[in-house]
Amino acid sequence: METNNNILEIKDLSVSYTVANVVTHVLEKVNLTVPKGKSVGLVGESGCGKTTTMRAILGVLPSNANIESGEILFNGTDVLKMPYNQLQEFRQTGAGLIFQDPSSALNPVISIKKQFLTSLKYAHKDKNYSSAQLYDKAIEALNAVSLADPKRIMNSFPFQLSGGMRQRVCIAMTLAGEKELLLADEPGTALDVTIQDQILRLIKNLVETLDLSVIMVTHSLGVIRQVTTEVNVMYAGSIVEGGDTHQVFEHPSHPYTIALMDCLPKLTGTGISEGIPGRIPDYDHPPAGCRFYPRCTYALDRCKSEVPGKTIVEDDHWVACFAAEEGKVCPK
Amino acid sequence: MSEVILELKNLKKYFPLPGGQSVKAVDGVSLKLFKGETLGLVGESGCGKSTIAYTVVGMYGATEGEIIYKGTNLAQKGYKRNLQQKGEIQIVFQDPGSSLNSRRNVGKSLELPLKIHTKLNKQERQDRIDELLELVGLPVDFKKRMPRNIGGGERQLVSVARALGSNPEFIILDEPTSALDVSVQAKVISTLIHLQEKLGLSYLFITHDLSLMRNVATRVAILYLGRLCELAPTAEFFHRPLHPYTQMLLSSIPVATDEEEKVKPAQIISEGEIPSPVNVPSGCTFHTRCRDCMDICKVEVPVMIEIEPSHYVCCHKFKEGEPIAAEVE
Amino acid sequence: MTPERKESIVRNWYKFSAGGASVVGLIIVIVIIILAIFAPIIAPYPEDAGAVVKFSESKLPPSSKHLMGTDTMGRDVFSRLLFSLKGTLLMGVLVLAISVPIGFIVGVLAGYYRDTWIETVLMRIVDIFLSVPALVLALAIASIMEPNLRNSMIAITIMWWPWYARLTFGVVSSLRTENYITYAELTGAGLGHIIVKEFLPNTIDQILTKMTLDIGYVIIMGATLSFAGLGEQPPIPALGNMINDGVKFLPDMWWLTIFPAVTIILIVLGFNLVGDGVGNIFNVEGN
Repeated sequence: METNNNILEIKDLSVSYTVANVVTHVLEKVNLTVPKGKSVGLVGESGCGKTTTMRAILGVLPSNANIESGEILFNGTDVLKMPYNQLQEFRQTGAGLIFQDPSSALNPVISIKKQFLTSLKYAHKDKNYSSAQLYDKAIEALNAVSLADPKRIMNSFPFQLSGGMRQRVCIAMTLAGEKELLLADEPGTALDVTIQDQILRLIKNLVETLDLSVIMVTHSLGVIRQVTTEVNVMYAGSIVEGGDTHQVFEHPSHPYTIALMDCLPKLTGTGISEGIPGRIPDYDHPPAGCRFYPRCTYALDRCKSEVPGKTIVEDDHWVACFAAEEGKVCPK
Repeated sequence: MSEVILELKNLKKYFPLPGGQSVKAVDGVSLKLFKGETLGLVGESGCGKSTIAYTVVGMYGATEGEIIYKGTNLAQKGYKRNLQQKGEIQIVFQDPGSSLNSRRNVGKSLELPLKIHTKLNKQERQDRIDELLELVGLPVDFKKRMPRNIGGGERQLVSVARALGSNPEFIILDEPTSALDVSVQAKVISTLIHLQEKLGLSYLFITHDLSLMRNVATRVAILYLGRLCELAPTAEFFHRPLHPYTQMLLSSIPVATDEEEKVKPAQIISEGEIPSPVNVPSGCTFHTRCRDCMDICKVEVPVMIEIEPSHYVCCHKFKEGEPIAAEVE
Repeated sequence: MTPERKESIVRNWYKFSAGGASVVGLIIVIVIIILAIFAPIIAPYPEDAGAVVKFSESKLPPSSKHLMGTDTMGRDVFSRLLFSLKGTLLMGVLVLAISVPIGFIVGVLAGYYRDTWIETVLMRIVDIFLSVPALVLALAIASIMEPNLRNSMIAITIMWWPWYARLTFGVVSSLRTENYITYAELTGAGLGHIIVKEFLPNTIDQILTKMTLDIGYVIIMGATLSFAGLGEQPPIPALGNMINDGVKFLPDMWWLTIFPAVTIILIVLGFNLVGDGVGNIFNVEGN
């Protein structure tokens, strides 16, 4: 096994779905790396394959999904080839998930204490902790997510807590489970912005102080910028641009990223573009070359048939685009 | 000043709860909407922004106060408004999934306001539907499509076209793009802006998205727990937010670029949660989360003052006629 | 036919026929309908549908001459069976044709005026009907009227509409707060528009599915009444009274009972399978 500092490596992952005899090619050679102790963003609009990627990582793809190629290495072991027992263990102890909607992640009729301890029992099943030890761990985690009065929280039911508190409880559960990798699916986007801000700062803090590794999956560029150090921009099932978050957002180089940034209403009041013409291609017959080709204003002839490789733009910033490779993409 | 289309005077809407308490969704809001402008009504959940929209459009009658539309008070009427008033005040809802009947095609949905509010015959109605679709930038053959076969943004544009069917002067936009992707949102917003210029419409734009309002609104109003905190022309509002809540909101927005980061007020750590609108805090409702909370804030409800021309703020920190302290700039 | 329409038919057929069983059901139903319509032509002894007595032929077991044997009066069971189909199907169709609109109107009004006295009154009436066992109610109603096919239909209709009222009420009260309904109200649409153009298209799926499933149950109910002597009166053949006639001669003259009973089972099975298929079309569409 090669030694590296990556907790998660997705290599050339292609996934398709079969629905009523129609094959939809959703993920196309996705590559994504999460270094230990870093938070990495996966950003894209609805239907771009974010959820499929996340499900693939957790090994919970629906039964009509086919993995056509690639591997997902978690600490060097391929999640896709794990036998059931090992996969189960990986889900219990390896990766934790933070849902978008904290109200549906917790069972409303079971007390927080019970849910918390059950999840910890599985997360630490090989360590033989006593209930009291688990309880202490839970309290400790609730303190870490800055929830006041953790004992009262443990004895309450989810419906007695506000959305922000529930989200914190969910984060505390994954923290106390000492999971190595945190998957955050649109964290806080179901909450109000002042509450979301608190949650995002909390996650950022935890990453820095506890050396957590996080994949943040979201549609919000702002959330990515605030929390992650690296970003992957996904369009129609492939990652089109990636690298250091700051570099990517300050100098977007893929025509899609540029167009997306133009659509984003800015606090500076520079106006909004007219949107990106066209829509995401049908996955049953995706374009043969670059998948953004039909909507791209910089499209070249070769984009139609050839899939662009990575071009380095800055020291830690790459883009998959022929036009950018030839220096023909010039953002405003 | 240009013509006032709509004026809310001390509008209140309480929803009674079993046990004698009530949810004070809107608790004394006064504002004016001028012809041809977009007034952004911004706030977080539970602030009453949607309740204001629904009361203005007539889904329910107000508990107290006035809604003056073209000189007539519509506050208590609810559904009992006359047909002309129903046609003139239109609304576009937030959820693209539920604003169109999934069992009726786009053309039929668009025909409804034409049947009720115009005297067009069948053929003329079909022509008008084509015209409406073109107005919102959709192809004419959309009228044969079913809502499930078109995208969320397109469905919202159909809702806009439907609202235009009765030739309104004023449209309430209730978070029309909050369920959409930004690239789709951009298309809907730019269409709304074009329509406003072309038809001289006035919008009451309900949203939680301040960045969007920066680019769309003529004036921005901030609501917190059923009361207005601040109301100012957009440029002024973002240049010099005065109310502590406005500042907290602005500094909470996750932005995507460095330039925007510079526009945000100095990082104000957002804290606390929004109290329940059943038990609103005494005095200034924001005092429980305010970093500048003074003793007076806990007991006395502040009043709205015009601190600068057309910049209104509702906070004990500011006194009418007194200059704004330098620290808030 | 537009390509879109054609595609939707193909898709719906795909969903309908997905399990295979629904196609079998459809074939059964079609065959029975054809037999019912063409009974006078197909029946080998059409005159046996009436009060004919042929002692020489009585009580004959099934043979090539009498496929299902003959009854005590020497009438051909197969012919009588064919003639009884029309009344049987008519029972299913007519009862639903009357009870569904009544149930829909009651349900849609109760759902639209949810949380008002209108809902309370309408739905409590529905509850009263639903709280009495269906068969007991139908028997009670039928027994106070003159026993014939029409009155047994009325009895079944009276106990059947509340089910549709409740079904419609459930759907409509969940759609009540949909924005398109609110929009229609706000822009000044009348109650007629809202019921017919907005609620009906959204309820029709569930109603149609339940109807295809229900035809079978209505037929059983009709046969039960006729078995109890409260439906079609002899000598007019009905599946229920044929079974009733035959029961006395079990097990020796088994053909008198078995063939009508199997026919009922087939009809109910056929409609149920079709109902499942129809449900598949709509359920998948709805998701």
